[in-house]
Amino acid sequence: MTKPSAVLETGEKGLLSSYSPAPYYCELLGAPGADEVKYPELTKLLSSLNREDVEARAAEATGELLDLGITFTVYTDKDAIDRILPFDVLPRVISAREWETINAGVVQRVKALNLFLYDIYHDAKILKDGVVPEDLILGNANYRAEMRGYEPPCGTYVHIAGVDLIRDGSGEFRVLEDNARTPSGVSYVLENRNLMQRDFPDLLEGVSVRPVSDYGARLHDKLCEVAPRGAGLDPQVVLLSPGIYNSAYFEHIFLARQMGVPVVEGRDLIVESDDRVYMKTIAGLRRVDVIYRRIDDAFLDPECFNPESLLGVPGLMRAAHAGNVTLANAVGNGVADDKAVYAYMPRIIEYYLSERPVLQNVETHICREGDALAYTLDNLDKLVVKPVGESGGYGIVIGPKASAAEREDCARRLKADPANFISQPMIELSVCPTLTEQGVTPCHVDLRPFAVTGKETWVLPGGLTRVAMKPGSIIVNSSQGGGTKDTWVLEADSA
Amino acid sequence: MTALLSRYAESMFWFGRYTERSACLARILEVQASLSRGNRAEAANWGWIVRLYDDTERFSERYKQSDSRSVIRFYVSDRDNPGSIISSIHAARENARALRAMISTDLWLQVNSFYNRFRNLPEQAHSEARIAQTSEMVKKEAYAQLGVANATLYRDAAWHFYTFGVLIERADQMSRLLDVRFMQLPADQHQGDGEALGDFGFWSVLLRSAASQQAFLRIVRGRREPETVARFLIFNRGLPRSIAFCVEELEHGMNELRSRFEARSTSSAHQRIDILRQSLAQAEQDPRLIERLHDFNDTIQAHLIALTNELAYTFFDVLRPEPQAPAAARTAEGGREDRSQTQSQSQSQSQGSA
Repeated sequence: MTKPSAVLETGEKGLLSSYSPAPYYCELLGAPGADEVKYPELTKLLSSLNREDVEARAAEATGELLDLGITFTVYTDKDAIDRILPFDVLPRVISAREWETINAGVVQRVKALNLFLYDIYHDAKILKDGVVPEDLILGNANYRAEMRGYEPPCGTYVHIAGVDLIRDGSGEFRVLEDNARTPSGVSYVLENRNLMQRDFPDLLEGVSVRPVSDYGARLHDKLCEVAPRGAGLDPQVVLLSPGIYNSAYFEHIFLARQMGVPVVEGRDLIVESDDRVYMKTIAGLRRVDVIYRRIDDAFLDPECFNPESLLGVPGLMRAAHAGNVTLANAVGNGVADDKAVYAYMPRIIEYYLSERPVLQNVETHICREGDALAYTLDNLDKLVVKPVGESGGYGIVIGPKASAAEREDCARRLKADPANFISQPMIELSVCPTLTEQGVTPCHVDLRPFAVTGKETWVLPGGLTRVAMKPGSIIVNSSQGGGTKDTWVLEADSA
Repeated sequence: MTALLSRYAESMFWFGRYTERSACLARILEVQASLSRGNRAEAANWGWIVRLYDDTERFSERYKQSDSRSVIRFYVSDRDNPGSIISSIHAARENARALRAMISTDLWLQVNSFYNRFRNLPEQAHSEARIAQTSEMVKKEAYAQLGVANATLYRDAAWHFYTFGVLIERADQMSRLLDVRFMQLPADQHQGDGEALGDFGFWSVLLRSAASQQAFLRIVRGRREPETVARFLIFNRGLPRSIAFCVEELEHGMNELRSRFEARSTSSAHQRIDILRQSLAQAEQDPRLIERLHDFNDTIQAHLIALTNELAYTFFDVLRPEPQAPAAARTAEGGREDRSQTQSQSQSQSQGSA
C-alpha cells in the first residue's frame, strides 16, 4: 500500500501537489495522519493530471451547464437570469462498505419517520407514552390537524426523503437533518454524472461506480405503488409545480421528463364534485391518481390552508381524504423533520423499531431537559445553540465564535425558555479536494442521499454532495456560494 | 398516452406564433430599410409600420414623432411594446421554458442562443444605418429556431398546436405585408384604384422580403406586374408563405388532431377554417380583387383572429364569452374594431403565471 506522502511526492507538478487536508478527515485520503491513503488508485490518477487541462475542461463543463439550462432561475423585474450551481469536477467517493451503512441507516430512518407520522396523526401512542413531549408535536406550527385519521396507501407519508449527512472528525457519518417535505437537488445528482461521463471519461475509466440513471423510473414505480385503489394498472402520475418562476423549476421538469409524466400547475387541475382530481387537456378532463407535489403545504389547497394561494388546487385535501388521490409527500410531514423532533429521532427509532440507530445524530442536547440545560449553560463556549422553531440558520449562536456579551444574552434566553433550544458541539465537516481559484484546496462537504418509498424504500446510490467552495467555509447552501460534486459509490471495495 | 394538457397546447401555439412573428417583424423592417436606401422620401416615411400594426395609439403614448429612430426603437428594442422584436423573442422563450419537459434540448439551446444574441446587441445595432443587418440576424435566428423545431419536435398533438401558431401568424403577417403600399399612402388616396399599388419595384422588394422572389420568377411567366405578385403571394399553393398554403395546412393539421389525438370536438375550429377557405376562393375568382385588396386583408385578419379565439375556447381552457356580450362577439365576428396585433393577437395575460 502507498503511503500518503509517497503519493503526493510522485505528483510534484500534478493536481494534488500542494493539497493538504489536515486537520480534517479527507474523503479521498482518509483520516489525518493515517498510514494509508483511502483511495490510492484514484489519488494516483488525480495526481497525474495536469492542472491547466483540468481547469480548461472544468470551464467547458460549466459552459455546458448553462447551455443546457441546468440552472436555477433568479427573476428580476423584466428578465430571467439563469444561474448554475457550480460543479466541481473532482469526485467524492464512498466505499461499498460505507454505503452499506448509509443505505441501512437511511432506510431505517425513513421507516421510523413513517411510523412516527402515522402514530401522531392517529393514536399518538408515542406522546401518551411520554417518549416525545406532546406540546412539541401538537403545538408545532407544521402539525396539520387536517391529517388526523388519514390512511395513506402503504402507510407511507415520506415518499421522497433527503437525509443530510456529515462526516465528523473521526470519519463517522452522522445525520444533520431530515428532509421529509420536498427535498430538492436530486436532478443535480443525475446531471453531474452525465457531465462527468461526457467530460471526464478518463477519471471513470477502470472504476466501477454504481449507476444513478434509473432514479426517475424508480420514483415513478414507487409513486404508482401508492396510487389510490381503483386507479387501475397504469395510474396517472403528475408533478405539481409552482411554475416557471420557481427557482427549482428546472428540477421539476427534469424529474417529470425522467418519469414521463406531465408537469402541471395548480390551474391545470380541478377537483370536481365527485371529489376526484382531473387535469385539463385538449381531450377534456382526465383523471389524476398521484400528485408529486413540489408546493408547500400552506399553498396546496386554499380550501384548507392559505386561502390566498393561487398556486394550489381547491379541494385537493378533500380528494385525498376520500382516497381518490395520493399526495407525495403527504401533507403535515413538516412536524417530523423539525429541529426539535430531530433531537428525539434516536429515541423514535428505538420506540418503533426496537433497534439501535444505524446512523447517529450529531450529539444533541435537548434543553427542555434539566441535565441538558445545565450542560449547555456550563459549556456555552464550546457549543452551538439553535432555536428549534426557526429555519434557515436564524438565531443560531456559535459559542466558540461569540463574544462574552453574546453568550450572556444567549444564556438569559436559554433560561427564560429552555424548551425552545437545542445545543450541539461544533461539528468538523470532512473535506474533499476541490478545484478553486487558489488551486486544489480542501473544502468542506456534506451528503444528501435520496430515498424513495412506496411499499419499500430504495436509496439512490450516492446522493448530492454539496461543497462549500470558499476555503474554510462550512456553509454548503447553494444560495451562499455552495457547489456540488459527482458522488461515486463503488460497486466493490478492493481487498 | 397521456392527453395533452391544455396549457401545453396553448404554450406550443404561442411559442410558434412568437417565433414566426419575430421573423416577420424583422422582414417588415428590412423592407423599409431597402425602400429607404437612396430614396429620401421613403427614408422619412416610417410611420406606416405603426399604422400597419394598428399600433398608432400605443405608439403615440410613448413617442412624439414617427421618425425612423422612434419606430425602430418601438418595434425592435422596446420591452414595453408587447409587439416588439425583443418582446416576441422573450415571449417565445418564456413559453419554451414552460414547455421544457416537452421540447428537445437542441430547441431549448437555440431559443436561448437567439435570446442572448439579441439581448447582447450593442445600442448602435438599433440605428437606422444598422437596422438591415440587425433584421437579417433576427430573421436568420428565427429561421434557425423554426428549423430546429421542425427537425426535432415529436409529432404529436403538441406539434399541431405549434404549427397552428406558426401558420396563423404567417398568414396574418402576409396579409399585413400586402397592405404595406396601402398603408404608405395618405388617407385621402385610399379610395383609389389599381394605381395605388405603385410600381413593380416596390412589389419586387416585397417579393424578396417574403423570400419568394426566386419562386415567383421561376413559376410566373409572362406579365410581371403588381397584381400577379399579389395573387402569387395570396393564392399559390406551393409557396409556404402564401395565405392559401397556410390555410390548407391549418385544415390538414386540424383533421389530424381530430382523427389521431382524441381532441375535443374540432367542429367549431373547422368551421372557422372553412370560412377562411371560402373567403380565399371568392377572392381568387374576383377580377377586381386588387382594388379591394385592403378590405380583403382586413377580412383575412379578422377571420384569423376568430380562429385564434376558437382555439382558445375549444382547447386552451379559456371561457367562451356569453353570446350577449357584444364587445367580445364583435371582435370575433367583425374584427374591425381591434386589429392591433398587440391587442388581440397576443397571449392573454390571464393565462400567464403570476
